Amino acid sequence: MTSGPLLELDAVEVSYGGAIRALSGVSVAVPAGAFVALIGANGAGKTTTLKAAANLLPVDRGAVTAGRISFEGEDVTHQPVHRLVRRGLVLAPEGRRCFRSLTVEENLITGALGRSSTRAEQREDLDKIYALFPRLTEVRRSPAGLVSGGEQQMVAIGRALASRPRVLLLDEPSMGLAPLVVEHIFRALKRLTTESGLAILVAEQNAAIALRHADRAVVLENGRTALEGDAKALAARGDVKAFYLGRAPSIETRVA
Amino acid sequence: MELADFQFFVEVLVGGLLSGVMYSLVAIGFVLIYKTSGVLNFAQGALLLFAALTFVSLVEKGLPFWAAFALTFAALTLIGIGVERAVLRPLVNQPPITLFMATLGLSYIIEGAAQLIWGTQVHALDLGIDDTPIDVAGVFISTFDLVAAGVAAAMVASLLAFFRFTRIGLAFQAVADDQFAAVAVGLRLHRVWVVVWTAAGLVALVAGLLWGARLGVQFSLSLVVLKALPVLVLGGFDSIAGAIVGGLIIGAVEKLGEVYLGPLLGGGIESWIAYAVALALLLVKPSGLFGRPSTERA
Repeated sequence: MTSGPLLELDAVEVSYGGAIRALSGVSVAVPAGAFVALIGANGAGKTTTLKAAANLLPVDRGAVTAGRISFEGEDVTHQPVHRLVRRGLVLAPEGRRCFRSLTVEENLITGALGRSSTRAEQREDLDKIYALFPRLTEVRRSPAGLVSGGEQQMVAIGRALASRPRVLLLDEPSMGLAPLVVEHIFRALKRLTTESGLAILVAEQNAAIALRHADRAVVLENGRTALEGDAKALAARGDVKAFYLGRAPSIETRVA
Repeated sequence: MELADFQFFVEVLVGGLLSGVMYSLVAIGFVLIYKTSGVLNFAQGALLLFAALTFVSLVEKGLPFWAAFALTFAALTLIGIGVERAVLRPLVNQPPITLFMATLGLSYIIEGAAQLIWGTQVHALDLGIDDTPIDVAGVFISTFDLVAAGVAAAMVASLLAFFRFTRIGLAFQAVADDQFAAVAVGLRLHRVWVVVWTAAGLVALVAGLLWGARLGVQFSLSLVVLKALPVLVLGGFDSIAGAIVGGLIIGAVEKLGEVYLGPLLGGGIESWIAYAVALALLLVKPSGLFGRPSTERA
């Protein structure tokens, strides 16, 4: 273990298809056990930032063109995804993307396939996930495509947790879900960070809820880090409040 | 209908269903690869030919059945690994039509290689299965067809079990459902592809032996894929169950059509009626009878 942050993105730049610049200077630090919110408007680069960290950009023909991504102090910018997952860095993608024809429990098991776990370990992991999201116990034998949106989000998170991560990257968990369900999920995530020391980097359109539960927050604007700091302090700032929790001109124009 | 007519009908139907099982077997090779990589693997027929030709040549060189079988399977595994390395990996994230063209090229390379190694003459393949018809309640059934269907059914059942009950099978289904999510949770796409191509190779081997024993091992053997296409259209390109049911339907339709419609339409029906049925279904149900079960809430 190094004393620096567990996951660190340093001035990362990304372009798609060698032409479309998506990120032009994103810096994010995620210390062990921290709950970090990544907020910003549509198209600010939240998803791209998470995909860059998980090295999933090549799927969309994107690439990191400058900057550095390090995990435990080591440069992992080009490390294969399965190795990152094994080391403890995993993404629960936007839109949940459960394996629809597999049952809920099979979905959870797929998260553990990358690691050569014993059946007992697998059972233990499943029990932990069911304890975190008790609703999943009732639907464990149903195809994941047929459970509710909230349950699918829990499956997606649980599936990522089954790989025993140390940093969970979570993309837009609130998407299309009822506020109560979102609240339930964020509470569960918060509990994970305080009880098991898991670090979470969550990208959220819904800045209010993200800032309420997170310790730290990073605000992205037009593909770069615009603000960074304590979540409560950011939430209290007039410009953040106005722009992300209400309506107002952008931070860049205000700050500059 | 008189008893004799009915017995004749059953005889034709059973014969059709039995040959249908063999169509299913060829179709399943396509489905495996299509499900995991979204590619219609045109090279499946070439693999089938390569397998049959390699096997029969090894047997002619004096190798016992199982040794020839194992060696051929090993060769197909090497092809699977080679295809993943040299074709699939460099072309990852390319549009499906590019991959389709690649498999088209691949099929000629494999056929050419088979020709280069084993020569071009026609080989007879004797699997030692007796082909005297047996009499079941007045209905005559070909022993060879019965055995072939049994082998094909066992093959399909073991494949299904493999993909249902093993870890790699779970990974296979995950990749088939959502490739991106599968990569994101740490599954190794390349490994799944190698396994799938190897499984498709095994299917090609078994299908190649059965078809080779029936038609003789020759280059037109690779054309049995043309028999698999209507099966795929009928059953859906991504459904193993669809390939089985589609194969049975096509097999039965071909034989019944030939016997009962043939005299009216002047014969030769067997060669095109499968396509007519597949086309008719396309108009009604474009994804096939079993294509992509939409496991989604309305």
